[in-house]
Amino acid sequence: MKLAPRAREGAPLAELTNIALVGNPNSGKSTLFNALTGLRQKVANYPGVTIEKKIGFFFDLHGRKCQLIDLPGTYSLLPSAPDEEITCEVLFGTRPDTPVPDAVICVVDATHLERSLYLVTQVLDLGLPAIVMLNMMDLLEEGGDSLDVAGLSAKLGCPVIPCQASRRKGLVELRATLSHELPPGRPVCRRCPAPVEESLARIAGDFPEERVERRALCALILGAPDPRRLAEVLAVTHLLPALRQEQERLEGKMPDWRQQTIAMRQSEIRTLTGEVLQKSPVIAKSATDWLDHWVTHPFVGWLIFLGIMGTMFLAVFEVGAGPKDAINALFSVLSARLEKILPAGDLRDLLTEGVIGGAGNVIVFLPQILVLFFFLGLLEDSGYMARAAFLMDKVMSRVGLQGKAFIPLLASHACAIPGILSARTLSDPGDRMVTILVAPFASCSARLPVYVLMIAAFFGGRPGAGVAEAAIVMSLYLLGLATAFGFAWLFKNSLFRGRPAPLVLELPPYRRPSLRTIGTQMLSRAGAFLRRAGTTIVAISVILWWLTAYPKVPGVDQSAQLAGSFAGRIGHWIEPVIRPLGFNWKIGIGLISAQAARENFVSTIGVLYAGKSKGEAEPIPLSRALLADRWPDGQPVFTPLVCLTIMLFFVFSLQCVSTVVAVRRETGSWRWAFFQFGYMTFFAYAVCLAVYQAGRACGL
Amino acid sequence: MEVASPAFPLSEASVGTHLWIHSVAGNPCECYRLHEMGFCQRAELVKLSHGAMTVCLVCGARVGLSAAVARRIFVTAVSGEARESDGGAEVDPGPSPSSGEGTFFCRILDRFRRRRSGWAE
Ligand SMILES: Nc1nc2c(ncn2[C@@H]2O[C@H](COP(=O)(O)OP(=O)(O)OP(=O)(O)O)[C@@H](O)[C@H]2O)c(=O)[nH]1
Ligand SMILES: [Mg+2]
Repeated sequence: MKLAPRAREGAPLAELTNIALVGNPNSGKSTLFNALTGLRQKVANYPGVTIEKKIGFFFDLHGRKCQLIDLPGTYSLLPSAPDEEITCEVLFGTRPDTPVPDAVICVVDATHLERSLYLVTQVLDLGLPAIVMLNMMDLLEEGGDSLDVAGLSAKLGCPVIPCQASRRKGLVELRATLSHELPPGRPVCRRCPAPVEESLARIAGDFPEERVERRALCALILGAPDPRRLAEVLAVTHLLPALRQEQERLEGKMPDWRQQTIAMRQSEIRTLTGEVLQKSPVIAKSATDWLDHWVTHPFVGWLIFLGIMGTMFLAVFEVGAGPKDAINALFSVLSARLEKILPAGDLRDLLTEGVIGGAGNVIVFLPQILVLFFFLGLLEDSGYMARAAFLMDKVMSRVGLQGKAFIPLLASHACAIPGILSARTLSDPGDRMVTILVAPFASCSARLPVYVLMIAAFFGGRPGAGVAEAAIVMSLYLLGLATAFGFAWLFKNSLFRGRPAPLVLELPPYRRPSLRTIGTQMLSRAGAFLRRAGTTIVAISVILWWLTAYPKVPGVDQSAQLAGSFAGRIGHWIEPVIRPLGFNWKIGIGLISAQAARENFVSTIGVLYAGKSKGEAEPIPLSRALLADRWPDGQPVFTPLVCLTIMLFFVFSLQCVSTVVAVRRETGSWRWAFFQFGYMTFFAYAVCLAVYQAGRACGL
Repeated sequence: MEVASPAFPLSEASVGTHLWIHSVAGNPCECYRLHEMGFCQRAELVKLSHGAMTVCLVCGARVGLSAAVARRIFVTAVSGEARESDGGAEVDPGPSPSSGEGTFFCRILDRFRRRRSGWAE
């Protein structure tokens, strides 16, 4: 039998039905997934958002549980990048960690029907039971086009449901359709050039009897310019010699047989689309073209890009500062209350210095981080990201990368891990490796608290001018990007030689960013941030507090106690290594704890300097406490030069265990993960040493 | 009916012209994906813009191409002259199929531009 028996015989679906969501990138799969399952998968307006399978549940109208698998978008079942491989593996049922799908929901962007049907017909050819969800019907109607849904369903031989996933329209119809038996997919485009047909007749019989049509599967692998990968996915490597022989034979008979085969399918699709879709003529040069022209303009485009970044950082300081001060005040009140309620002793110190001084000092940065996420959300949902890739393509191709690699780099500004994962959308393995190796140079949101704290100290603890602060942060972000480009050039000219892959990207329409989508993203980010602050950062703060409070040295002042504590001893032990950078032992301890996560630097400094507030009528801000710290010779520790050096260290170094683990997973070896950690740390140290020593030589 | 005109790179075609794809140069893997995305012999394409990025309408979707890719896609004109160097830059594009564009400010901008330049709806 070629299919799961129930599907072929038209019997009711199993108790737990596994359904895979497939479709072109940016067609609204994740939006539909979220609407059906109530989960919060990331949704954004550019191709390549989902790069991993995600599983959720929903119930059909009969109350039967369905397992829904959201998948990365693809244009074809012949994968060209690792994210597309995941989709194919799940669809062919060869991924051990994912259940074999009983049915497929093909999400189609109704405004791109002709393009989308290429993949839909490939799925139907395989004989898989499928439902076509015609998403974005609102946009189709807005454009004045009309579509004969019943006609399309008749031609495809499967249910077709118009929907608007963003407004949850069409979901009831989908649930109702899933409650009934689904017919197996019926091949729609069977025609191919005669020599290809002969080859298929010769070798299709050798393919194992599986749940999908043998002929379609064979046609898919036969067409592949490099059939090895797909043959491995389908566990038919033993057929490779026969496949290669047929390919050679075809090459001799009909040099452009691949193109001809695709052209035949597309011509059938074109005819089909023409019969069901009525397009209204629109003006040839739309405002989208006009916007595209300026947004990707070699000069104006850059001005727009820098303008957006400038506005973003200004908002981080101007909008985020108010709520930050309010949270700070709240923690001060809480701290003062605890000091009053609790008797002097370890418990009081633990709560005020360890928990509030540590994790509290990180949580205050939440509003500013949220402002950053809000702006990144606007960029992602407006349609700008794909254009930014083209704007950057010129620079990126000079360093040997394709412009598409800019999308992972831009995504890394929120967090390096999703950025590294989204490098899966790059087809060239060398480009992918280089992007992974340089992505952590993009300043992630965890660096923001460090930058903000150091800028406050840089400006002497006075509330600095928002513009100046924003300009410094923006320069640090641009410096990170420039360094990423520099190292990309180095790697592309040494370890991963090769010319950049061509940049071809579907351009999503410009859309009004959905506040709901952005709000959901911000909420989930805020949740993750608070969870981290409430767990890892509190834990590290408490451990650090203990290290600073013990062993107790009776009858000495606060700083002598600190110096004699475990933390003080460790700090003094590492001080010789960091002293040439102008860092004292407390900064050194901060750098060590920041290895777990960068925010820990702020919490650690918060714990180590919490004692400075002791005896003051009101707790003083951390930045002022830092400025009060002196070297034994009376010189201030946190000079503007030291603050700058610390910021530079954070721009260049890789201090994030989770990133190291993610790189290990993506590259498949610890070697690359350690190499990345090593070269970034070494580079950070070397630059900071040069800057600090040069600054000292100039009398700063 | 196909017009037997010589093929030239897409990068040299003038904006707004309707073209037929003739061939795609490059390594087989890259070409295969381009074919699958609609850049396939006999497929029709409308060049929408030119610059840092070449935008074209293919299979009803807007696709952006870098300048390097646009130089590797060879096209022929559906009718008349369509090559920039042949002085075809001013060819009136005429109505092209809608691609579902024109949301939000694009619609507003379109309306504004139409009013200013007297474009036909
Ligand atoms: N107007 C409109 N927009 C929609 C609809 N469904 C989804 N969108 C928007 O389309 C964009 C893409 O949605 P996603 O759900 O991320 O698309 P996807 O198919 O998962 O994309 P990838 O993960 O990149 O393959 C987002 O901006 C959505 O808000 C719809 O029915 N109408
Ligand atoms: Mg998605």
